[in-house]
Amino acid sequence: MQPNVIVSAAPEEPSRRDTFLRSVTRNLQSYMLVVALLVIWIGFGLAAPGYTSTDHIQNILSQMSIIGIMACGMVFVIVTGGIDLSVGYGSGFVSVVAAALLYNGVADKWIQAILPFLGKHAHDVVTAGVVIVLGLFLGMLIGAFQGSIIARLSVPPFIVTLGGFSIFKSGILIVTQGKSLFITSYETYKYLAQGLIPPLGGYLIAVIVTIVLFIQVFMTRARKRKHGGDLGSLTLQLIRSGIFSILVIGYVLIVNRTFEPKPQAEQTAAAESSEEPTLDLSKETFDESKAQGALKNFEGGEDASKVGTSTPDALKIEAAGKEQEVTEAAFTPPTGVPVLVVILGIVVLMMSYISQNTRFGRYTYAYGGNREAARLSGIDVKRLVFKVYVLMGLLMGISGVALAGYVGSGTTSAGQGYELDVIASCILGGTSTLGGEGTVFGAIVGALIIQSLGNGLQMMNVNSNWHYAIKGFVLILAVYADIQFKKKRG
Amino acid sequence: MAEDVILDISHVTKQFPGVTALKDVSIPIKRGEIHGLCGENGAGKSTLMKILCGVYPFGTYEGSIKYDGKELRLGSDSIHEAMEQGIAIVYQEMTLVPKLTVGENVWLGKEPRRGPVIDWDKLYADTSAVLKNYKLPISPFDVVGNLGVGQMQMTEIAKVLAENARVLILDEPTSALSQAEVDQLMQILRGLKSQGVTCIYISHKLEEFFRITDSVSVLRDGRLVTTQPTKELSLEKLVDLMVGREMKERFPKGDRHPGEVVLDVKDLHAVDPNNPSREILKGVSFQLRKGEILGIAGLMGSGRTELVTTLFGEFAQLTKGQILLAGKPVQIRSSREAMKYGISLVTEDRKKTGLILIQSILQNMSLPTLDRFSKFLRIDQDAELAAVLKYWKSLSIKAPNVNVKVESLSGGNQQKVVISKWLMSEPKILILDDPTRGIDVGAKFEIYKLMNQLAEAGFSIIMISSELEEVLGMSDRVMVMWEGRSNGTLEIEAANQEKVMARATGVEVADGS
Repeated sequence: MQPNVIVSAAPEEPSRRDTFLRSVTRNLQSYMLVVALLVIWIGFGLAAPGYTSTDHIQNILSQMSIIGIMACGMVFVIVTGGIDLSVGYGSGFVSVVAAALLYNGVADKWIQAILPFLGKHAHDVVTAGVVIVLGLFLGMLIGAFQGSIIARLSVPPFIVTLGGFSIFKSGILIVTQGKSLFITSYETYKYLAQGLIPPLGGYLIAVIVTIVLFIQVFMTRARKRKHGGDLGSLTLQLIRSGIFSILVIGYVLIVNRTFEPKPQAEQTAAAESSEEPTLDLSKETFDESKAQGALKNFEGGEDASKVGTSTPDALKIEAAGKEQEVTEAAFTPPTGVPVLVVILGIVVLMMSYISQNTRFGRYTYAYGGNREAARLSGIDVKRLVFKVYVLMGLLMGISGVALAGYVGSGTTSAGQGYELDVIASCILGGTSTLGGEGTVFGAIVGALIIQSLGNGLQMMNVNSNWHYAIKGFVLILAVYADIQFKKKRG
Repeated sequence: MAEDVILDISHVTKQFPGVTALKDVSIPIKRGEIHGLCGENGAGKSTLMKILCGVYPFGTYEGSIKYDGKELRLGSDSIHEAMEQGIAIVYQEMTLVPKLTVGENVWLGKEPRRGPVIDWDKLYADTSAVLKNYKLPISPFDVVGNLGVGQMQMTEIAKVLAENARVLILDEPTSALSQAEVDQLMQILRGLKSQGVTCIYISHKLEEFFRITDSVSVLRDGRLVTTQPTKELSLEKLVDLMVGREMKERFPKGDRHPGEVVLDVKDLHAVDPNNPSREILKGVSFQLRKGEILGIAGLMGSGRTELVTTLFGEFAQLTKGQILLAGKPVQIRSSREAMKYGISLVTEDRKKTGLILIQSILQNMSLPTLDRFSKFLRIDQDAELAAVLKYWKSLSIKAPNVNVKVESLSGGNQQKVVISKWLMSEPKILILDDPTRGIDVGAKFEIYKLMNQLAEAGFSIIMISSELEEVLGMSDRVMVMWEGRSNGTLEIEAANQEKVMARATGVEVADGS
């Protein structure tokens, strides 16, 4: 068919300045979030000594990784109009199962039995691989279990995952039998959660990210030009890519300690002569101090576990402090991008890509926007919802595996309270609880805001009993501001 | 003024940033009359009504509105204020709570009380009195969710009358009503008039103005074109006044030559899958030919919508009968399968089931066909955009670009997006369920032209419509439904309003039904 072509009157060409200003207002919401983050950083940077220290900057991203990874999946869940309350104890359950496999030497025995010829190092690598795969698989199984009940049996997600919340808490207690399961050796496994990438790797990542960001701007514009779409402001797009590149490059430079004075000559010499053992020693000390911290908290009973181990942050900061003392005296400070941050980066990029460039992503947003219309457009909505929860489960698995390595143990309170931080990250990041709207990028910024706030309060020695209350008020305030903003614009 | 004017709108201008929605509009509305208000979408009808009922408070517009001789000064957030003064609006979309009874709905938020508890006796007695006084045939004890659309509307009317409304604004009251329900509404309105209630009547169905109104005001592009006694107007003249141009015919004639049978439905029976004892289709048979427009007429609840959703693989469960596509029997169990067989359905309610309002034109249009643009996991956005742009241009959808959210489009353009969405799936059979509901005359005409072009290009079209004139004006043949069964198919030359109505109401029954 060839109906008469009456192209609507072409809108007059807007000036470049207009386009720029319009884009700025249109994107103000996502920028407001970034601005809020900057305000928090500057505020705490001025108020709390150590907030802008290299050590803290190095830590903050790895601390938020576990929450951040799950927030990427939670965006999808909330976009479908659902919720997953089980992510905290779900990831905790995965973490204690992983810890149990390593703690009792169970994984060792299996691998020894199947592959008896492996060397010590190869054995370590295979063990890590097996435990990780099992952990991810367990996560997906959890997702499939909850997803099938939600999608096929039409039980509301709130109820199913509230049930899951309780079930996995029980699972944690059953696996741990009320004890903390310490992961003592297994360097490869722990490297993935605690390790740092050598400086050169960090530089390489920064360069690649920068190039990709700028190429992407021009590729998108080229495509739109070809088909006569709205190009948007080039200046703004370049500024956006520029800011983001600067952040990445800056982060890499800081954590690689590029501009920090080298340790003194004799120390370097000393370190050179025994580099390997020194590093090992530092790691050992690090682990021990943390393990002690965990133990202390655990023994402290109800109170301590509530305040301390509910998130690994407290531990890590404590440990980092101690570590600094130790390293300043004799060792080179930790240098390089944390592996966990790279994992988070990969997850964010993949989830962001999935949300925009795959059928699955587009269907998810369509379903969240209007269930009936999506169904009548030929989308198998039950399978879609199932997949969303399986994906959430996979990310829960990744987080669980990372959590065990990060804390160096499986504890009875593993994952406690994470669900609130994960959901709050999404909401802060602009995900609509009504469904249909939300971005992975927003959720990550949300997670960073929550982490920055928490760390700042801790470093300013604000009584930790107040932390949750402050986070709660910030969440409510942010959503209120968002509603007001939308009203004004609409 | 000699005549008794209850509402004197004079020189009202309302501006929005960048747009003048109303410009120097003056309409005197006489006490006890039914005053029609017509105009295309965007002509300013809604804006004017929103001023009258306080959505846009006093001071946000220029000019004056005198109500009973006094300036109408409504404060901000003053919908209640307007109601208290006796101006009430009956909305297009219902504002009732489905689980509550008629009585509870009527008094919602202002329940009569005895001390701290609700005085149920008084509540129901008062409701009864209102219903009886205005001759509304519903019971105060009916649960609203169980009522038909027409009865819900009566509840809505009762609700505002219970507050002593003296000016009633009816915004598109008949858009969801069957013919019988429309007749009943007209009777009720005449009743109200005899009791001295003034009505402002807004509708897209122009015939209704001639049935019910005393005078009609026509708005175009925010200006008043004319206010005239209805008896001085004719349908053609009214259309001319609205669109401001000569429209030779309301239904463009196509040059169609229907070919072989593509769809043959034989004695279809179906039940509600959630309630298998409820029969939905009780024997439907018809044929559809290539390049043909088949109209389906029938009253609300006659099973027309249920029939087409069943053909589309959704909703009902077949118990008997056959669907033959190009001579081969097929089973269609989901919308996905229907699409594979080349059947597309433009659903009745575009906002509820057709569009994802918060998404863009592009995202809406490519949704059913994303499979085709996908390579492995990735969507080829170049190909997607190119395909979308083709339809965006050829259907001349009015929007700055395809990334605009569909919620910001007018009804007619939204409908074009839905139609484009289904044309993109390259169907052989396109089912349109009430495709021109709630869109203005100009956009309707464009949709009709599009239907003609499609049929001429070899698409087979099934069109359901609540408007008899539309069915008669556009179809090659008309299949009439009555109580879940097909009551004969009429050739267009042999069909007229009376014959179709006789079949739709079961006065006349086709052989073999």
